[in-house]
Amino acid sequence: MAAAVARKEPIRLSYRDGQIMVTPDDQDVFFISAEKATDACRQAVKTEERISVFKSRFLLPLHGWCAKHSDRVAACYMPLPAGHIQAFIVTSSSRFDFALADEIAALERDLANDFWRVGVFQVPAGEDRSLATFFNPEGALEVYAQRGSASK
Amino acid sequence: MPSADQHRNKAERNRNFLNSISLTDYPEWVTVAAFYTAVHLVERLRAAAGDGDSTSHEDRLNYVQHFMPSEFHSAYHILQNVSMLARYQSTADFFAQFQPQEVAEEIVAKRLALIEQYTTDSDAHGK
Repeated sequence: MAAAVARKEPIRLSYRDGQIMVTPDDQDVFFISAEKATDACRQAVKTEERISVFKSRFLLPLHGWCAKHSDRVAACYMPLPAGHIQAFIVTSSSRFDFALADEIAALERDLANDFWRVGVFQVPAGEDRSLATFFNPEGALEVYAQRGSASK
Repeated sequence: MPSADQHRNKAERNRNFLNSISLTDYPEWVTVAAFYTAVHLVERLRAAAGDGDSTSHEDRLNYVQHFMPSEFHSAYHILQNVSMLARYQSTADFFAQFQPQEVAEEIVAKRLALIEQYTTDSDAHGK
């Protein structure tokens, strides 16, 4: 009988006083994500500045936007970048929210205008497995999650 | 490299196909046909501007983000998002997320129509 293989989960980020906290066990994968994101999008960034730029110019604005829309947003994930960044915003509702979609487009435009090569997409709440059709959770970052919601 | 006219032809064929689909029976395919109509309208505008071809959906979205008006970008972004959901999620998920009337009004009559109108206006102004 084959041994059960534990499914890889996204790395959960936490936020305190405007700072992003990454557990020591997750640091290596987080650094890889930051390097790939800045490689793809902001090549002018010096290597030593990559982590801080990725945190302050991408993750914090994205997390802040989600928190500001917490009445409709349940979670946000960023898969490991491959040439470009993708972010998936999981909503609280099972219906597609067209008004929110216009706001997500504006967020995407703001990030793109800050030189990130990025697509931000809405995924209505559904079964947990449906997220796996869009990205591999291994190496992904959980940028935002309301505990007890879609963050499983 | 396809010309602007070749992309116009592809967009027109995709739009004709969209018009032939039963919205009640296959709303998910209406969204996919709407997106691929928009894809060729963007490629038509890009070719006419002398900006070459997009190499991927990501490259095309990047072009739209930087070279199209914000309303155009929002409409295209939503078509891409909805088409992605239609293609990769289950049929049950799609019908839970969208009513056929929303597909007709929000996707075809509002977002795709905006992109089509912008393209027509660009032709009229020789852009």
